[in-house]
Amino acid sequence: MAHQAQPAIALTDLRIGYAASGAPREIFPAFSAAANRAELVALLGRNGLGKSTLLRTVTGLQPPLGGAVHLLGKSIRRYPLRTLATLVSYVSTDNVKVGNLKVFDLVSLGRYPYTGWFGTLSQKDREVVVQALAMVGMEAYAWRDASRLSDGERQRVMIARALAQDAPVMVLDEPTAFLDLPNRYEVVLLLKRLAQEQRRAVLFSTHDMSIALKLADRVWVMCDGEFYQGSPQALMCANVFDKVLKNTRLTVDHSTGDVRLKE
Amino acid sequence: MHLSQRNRKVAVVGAALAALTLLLLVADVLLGSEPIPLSTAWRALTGAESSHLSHIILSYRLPKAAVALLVGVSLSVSGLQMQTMFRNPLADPYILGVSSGAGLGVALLVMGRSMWSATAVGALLASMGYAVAACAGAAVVMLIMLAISLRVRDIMAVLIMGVMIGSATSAVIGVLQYFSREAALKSYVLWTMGGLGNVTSAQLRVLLAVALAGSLLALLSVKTLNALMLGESYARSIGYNVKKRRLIIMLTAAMLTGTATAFCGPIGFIGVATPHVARMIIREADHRYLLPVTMLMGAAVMLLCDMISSLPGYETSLPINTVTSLLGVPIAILVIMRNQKVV
Repeated sequence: MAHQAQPAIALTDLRIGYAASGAPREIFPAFSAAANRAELVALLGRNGLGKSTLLRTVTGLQPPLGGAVHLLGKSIRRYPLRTLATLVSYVSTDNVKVGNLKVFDLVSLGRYPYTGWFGTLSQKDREVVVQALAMVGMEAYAWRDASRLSDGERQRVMIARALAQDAPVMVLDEPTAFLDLPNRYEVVLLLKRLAQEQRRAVLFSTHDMSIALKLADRVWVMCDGEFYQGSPQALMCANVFDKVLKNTRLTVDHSTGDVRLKE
Repeated sequence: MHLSQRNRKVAVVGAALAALTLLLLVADVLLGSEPIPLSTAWRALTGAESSHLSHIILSYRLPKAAVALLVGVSLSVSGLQMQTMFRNPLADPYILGVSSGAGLGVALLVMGRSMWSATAVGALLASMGYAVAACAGAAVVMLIMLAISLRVRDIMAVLIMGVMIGSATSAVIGVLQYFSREAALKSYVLWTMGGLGNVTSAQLRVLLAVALAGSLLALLSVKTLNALMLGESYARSIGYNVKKRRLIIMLTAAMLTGTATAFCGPIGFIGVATPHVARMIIREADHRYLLPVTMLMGAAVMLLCDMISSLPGYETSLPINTVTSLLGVPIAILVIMRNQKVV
């Protein structure tokens, strides 16, 4: 494909924030970054630095204050909304609960960029939904009430919904929040598998530094007004994670990537 | 496999509800302060009989039953649309003050006219019918509530705001009442008593047209309503221009509520209750199933309320709003108890 040589996500001099009532409020200095297809990219940073804002800007949910977001070599401004929905899918932090909503129907919402006026699913749409459920190991739950799932199950279903959207870029805002430790690993391992097997660029924000360092191919770090990107090893050598954890009682083990209490 | 199964299930429920609605429609026409035998009613309808009873049927009972059916559909569709748009299981035109807004529109028309007759507003109001004034009032409150719900995330806080907006509109109406002339005041008070039986045949035609148009618009927007179930961000991320589509749905809901309120007065709790009864029966959230079943449910429930309000053997009938409240409030309370966490 023509755009395979291009990075899946390219951020150029991006300025993120809110243009509230005339005076734009920039929440992070301009930076550039990129991510390729088949890469699992973890976005790290302390609370309140603008990780969610960055992810919403990458998905086109809010406009940048400056600079550009390119997906597959083209500025997202030049994609119609519906085309954009076939290129990037999104899983938010919202703990969405809709009574009586079947898991299958929830995942089917991901097919909406492809269906007609009434949202009727074609045979192919149905197959994609079933495959997406199978991919996250939830096919047995298709006809359950989605509002009655456990947190881990629901997160898998929300990922299946994004998968059903069949977009080469997947963006997830803290997909491991609210999950117990085994489920955090399971979800990130699932994301890694999706990135590798389906050649998607998967970008997710997280506070689980050690899981990210063990599993991500690339890490984006927002820290003290600086943006760092690179492989976990490279950033470790540059002491980036020590900067993230400075003024805390935690430290990161440079050989294993484990986060532990300082002695 | 499952898809055809659920299609069949919903079709069976829909057919049963349609049959029930028809049965209630017939019963509503036949029962009343003076019960009428089916054979007499049939002869009256076919024009084979013209008597005192056939006059009651043709010019009173039948239009009243038709109004009940249309108002039931209008308020239920409006309620379902609002519940999905606000992502709030208790959103409803009455609870969120939209009916009060419609009432304010009518109050400005009836009582404000005499005060402002020389002004442009007065001239504008004078040229509007009850329905237009009520729809405009409903739309204004709907847009205020939309603006609030976009800033306030907590669903209970939004409900409280709705109650406050309702109180504020009532206060404005109170001020209008204080300053208005006796005749205008009287016609406004008569309007607030409402009822399904005071609708003229011209008004019935307007009600029919709006209920049909509104239901059609709602049916055409089922995909948008489904997309909005997960909230604005998700709707946008699957390719929806949320702002534009939400406005269309809001104005449809305001038009349905406004027209029903203009002709029958404020009617509470039908909008909140019937979508939930529909959900309890079919156990679906998909609006392609939920909307048609809610429409039928609204028609059936409102016919039932009309029958209860004019029980056989009593000369006078209960105000329709008391009956809908007595039936609807327990359902609303049940929803609060059960759905504490589920939106």
